[in-house]
Amino acid sequence: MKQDKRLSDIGREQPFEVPDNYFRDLPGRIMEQCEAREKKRSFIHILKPALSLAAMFVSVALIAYFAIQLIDQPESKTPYGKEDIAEAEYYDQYYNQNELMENLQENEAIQIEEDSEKTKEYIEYLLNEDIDYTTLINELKEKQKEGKDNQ
Amino acid sequence: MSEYTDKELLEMFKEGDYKNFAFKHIIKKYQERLYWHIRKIVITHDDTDDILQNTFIKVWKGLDHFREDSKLYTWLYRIATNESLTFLKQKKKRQHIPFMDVEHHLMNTLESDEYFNGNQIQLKLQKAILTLPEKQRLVFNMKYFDEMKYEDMSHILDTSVGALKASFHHAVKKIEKYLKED
Repeated sequence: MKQDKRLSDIGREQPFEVPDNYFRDLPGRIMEQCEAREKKRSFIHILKPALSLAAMFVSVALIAYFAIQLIDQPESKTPYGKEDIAEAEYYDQYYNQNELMENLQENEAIQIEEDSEKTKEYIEYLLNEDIDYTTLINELKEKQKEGKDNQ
Repeated sequence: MSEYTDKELLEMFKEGDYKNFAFKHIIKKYQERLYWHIRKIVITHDDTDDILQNTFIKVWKGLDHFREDSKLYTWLYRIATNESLTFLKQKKKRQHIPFMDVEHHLMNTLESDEYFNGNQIQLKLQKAILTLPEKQRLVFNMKYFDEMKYEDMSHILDTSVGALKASFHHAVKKIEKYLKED
């Protein structure tokens, strides 16, 4: 109890002070901040529907753009031309490598056969006309000279 | 200070037309009580001013959703107390003050505060209060200086009445012991 008295002797007065007119000015200062906050909030509140609509349009436009890009991609970005495709289709009829090789050899053999037949025809003509190699060369040279003279 | 009751002010605030008018009256009605409550926790005027403004801005934002199952003034005290304690925690982190030196730091602040106007015995009492643990300090200030009812303190600090009485008892004993020293 003696201790309580000592504490109560000090009293309950606040030992602190505040600047002059602090409590007079404080409500105005706080209200300014609150009103500024409210204006900012109401501005956002007004803009919110417009911003949402704009965001929606932008999203739709982006989705459409990427969708078109995706659809266009296979044709526009193909590295092959029409000629390549035709060639590939041509080779595609030979369904394996062996068949392709056989076909190529066959074509080559036909060509050689055609060439040898022509050679035979030339030889037969020369023999029938009794034209030897030297005579043939001389006649060709004379024809060349005549050609030059005429020019 | 205000001719309106809390209930009338809350109704005006929620109706919208008199929102600013009602809130200005709430500030006028409670600014001094909240100021001294915060000041005893953080000691300096400048810190108190910042915390008090933040407190009222939070009240402005939350008053629309305030449920009237508790008293307006206990709700205001609760916000102010939380704001003050959060401020002290942030100050400890910002200034890298070791946990045990917070009270010592506040004592130095008290001595250098230009708005402290107490005599030597009042200074000693404030120093004694600063030696208390945080919760005891709050309880002692609210009971001794603000003469608040334990029931209201219980709502503000979320602590049982019995625990609050015990805290106050321990606080008084520690302060008396401190005052007897030297």
